[in-house]
Amino acid sequence: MKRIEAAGVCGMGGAGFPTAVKLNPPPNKRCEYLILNGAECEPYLSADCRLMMERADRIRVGVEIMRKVLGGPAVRIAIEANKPEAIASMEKAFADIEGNVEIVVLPVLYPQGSEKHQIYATVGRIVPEPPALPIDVGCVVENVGTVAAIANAVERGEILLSRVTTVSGDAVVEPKNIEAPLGTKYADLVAFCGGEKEPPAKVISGGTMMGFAVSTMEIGTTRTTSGLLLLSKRRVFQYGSGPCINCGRCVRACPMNLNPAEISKAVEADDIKSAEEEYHVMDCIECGACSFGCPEYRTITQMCRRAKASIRARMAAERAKAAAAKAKEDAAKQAAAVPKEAK
Amino acid sequence: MKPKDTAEHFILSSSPHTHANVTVRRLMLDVIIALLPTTAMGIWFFGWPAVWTIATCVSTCIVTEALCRLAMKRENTVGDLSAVVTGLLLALNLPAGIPLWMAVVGSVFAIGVAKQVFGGLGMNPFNPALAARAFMLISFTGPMTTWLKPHWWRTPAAATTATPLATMKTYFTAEATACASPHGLFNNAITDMPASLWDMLIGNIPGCIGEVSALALAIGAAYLLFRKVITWHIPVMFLATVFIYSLFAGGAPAMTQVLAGGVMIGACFMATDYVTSPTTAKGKLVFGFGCGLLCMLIRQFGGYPEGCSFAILIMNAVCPLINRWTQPKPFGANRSKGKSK
Repeated sequence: MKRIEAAGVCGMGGAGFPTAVKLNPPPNKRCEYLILNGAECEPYLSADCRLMMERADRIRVGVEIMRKVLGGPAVRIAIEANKPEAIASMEKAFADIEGNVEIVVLPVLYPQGSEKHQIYATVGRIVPEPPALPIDVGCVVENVGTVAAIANAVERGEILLSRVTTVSGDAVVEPKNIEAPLGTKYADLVAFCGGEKEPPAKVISGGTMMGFAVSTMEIGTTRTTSGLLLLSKRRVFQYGSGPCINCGRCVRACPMNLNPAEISKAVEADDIKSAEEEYHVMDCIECGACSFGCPEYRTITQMCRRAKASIRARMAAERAKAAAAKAKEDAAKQAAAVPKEAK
Repeated sequence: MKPKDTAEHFILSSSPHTHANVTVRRLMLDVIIALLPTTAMGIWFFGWPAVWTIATCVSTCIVTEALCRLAMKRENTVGDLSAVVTGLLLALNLPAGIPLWMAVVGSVFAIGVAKQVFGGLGMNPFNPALAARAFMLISFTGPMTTWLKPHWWRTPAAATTATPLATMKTYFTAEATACASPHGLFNNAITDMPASLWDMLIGNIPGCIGEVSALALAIGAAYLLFRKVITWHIPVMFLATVFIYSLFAGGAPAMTQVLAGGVMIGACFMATDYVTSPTTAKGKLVFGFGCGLLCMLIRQFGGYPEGCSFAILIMNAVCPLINRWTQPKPFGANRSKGKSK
């Protein structure tokens, strides 16, 4: 455990949640299922797929360590059906393992890699809304990259110093998966892939659905840089602000069963309150599925994000205010106590 | 390769960075394609008057849309094809022989009053084509209920006639007095059916240009479902409600109630209008049920033989309410209800 923590292993799917915390569930909660997330549902990305094909032994060692730590849960390895090589490789690696280990082939769907949806798809359990965590339904989900990193940390005492990153996009000469030291400059990664076919119009760190656009390639990779995409002008388009025509595509697309149309309309009207209370915008996982299918190219995900940010800011302000009030109260109490003692 | 400083050349934006490439224009084009079979059937049965009515409505709608946007100093939205759809739908809901100036007035009302006054596509509370049809039905009751016979040019002496629906209307009252006649899918008590089921299926009956051929409408609807432009909820619920209601209400046989009048075009093309129908699956079912029920209530008890357009308009009005009632539950929310509240 200490080694995992000291090695700085964290969720390598994208969120970067500290792994040591996940592997140390509260004593009253038992982990029944360890789910390996190899869905990799983002378009373009294939780093996890290659990892499963080429580092299957590492993943197996990692799984064995984690089972020990978590008290022997059943293991489910979730892979999307469009990665037959990865499935075959994992089947081979886990062929002779004892205990309840299964590979679950998932339909190719976005966002299959989302923790909540993965748990539902593999073991049929539903994680309640926050602050509930997967462990509340007896599940721990780890990205396959994380599992390999655990193996390296525990077995070899290696600190997490490198990761596999997909370098792709139509402006790259030769798209590749590269295991590169953390901090490798984006520009160097691209150079390793034969450079740019044409000047990219947009550079994305991560995938096309949830990654973020960066302004320069003079920055380095981090533990959560799953992909680096260079898109040419042809692939870049502008979302707009046309009127919602009520088509309901976003409602059908939303994996969290929200009503993105209403949320976006509320945000446009600056009505953050109803976005929060009536339409539960805080449950939004920002997967981007709503914007993706919007025929008006509305910035729905982006508006959800804005609502969440302003709600968080308000909550933080409220906390700060409460803390300040408490400090004032304490100070007053102290001030009141002092003269008493003086007497 | 030496690193370049291209900082200011990259476009920055919030994710997602990709799109399904669905546009309003494409969706509207799909609707137009889906309406082609019934348009063709309408022209086949009603001839040149149908062509002129359709051409008049579509062109007037386009011009009105352009002029309205110009007057409002907004971006011209003719390109999204929604005005074409409105014009076509309105024309298909008019009798073929209507004076063309009335079609012009109706089209101007559809785009100008029912749509652009509210701010254009996405803002209108009522289906523009239907609002215009209702407006015309009240303003020009005579011409709006004068029906050309299919292939009317073959019988020049009696070119106009009553629709099957109008005839069927009398069955409700007839049955109330005669009572106790067996009702059901094929009502044997009624021997003087105004049209055979086959004629109603292909559209060999008097009626509006685009509502007569149930088969052509069904083909169009199937195309829309296949292209995922619409979902099954509203049409299926609408038609099922009409069918089941008429099974139990007596009057004309249930099958003819579904095939006659505007139910098919209403359920498949009018009630499924994005802007004026609910967004959630549950809401769509409620909406479809309401349309079907109101339609049959008007047919049985109302003053008009046909209640389809009014039924949909009434449901349009309650659509925001339905949307509110049928908000989806967030994934995972039902479980925590006991714990957190």
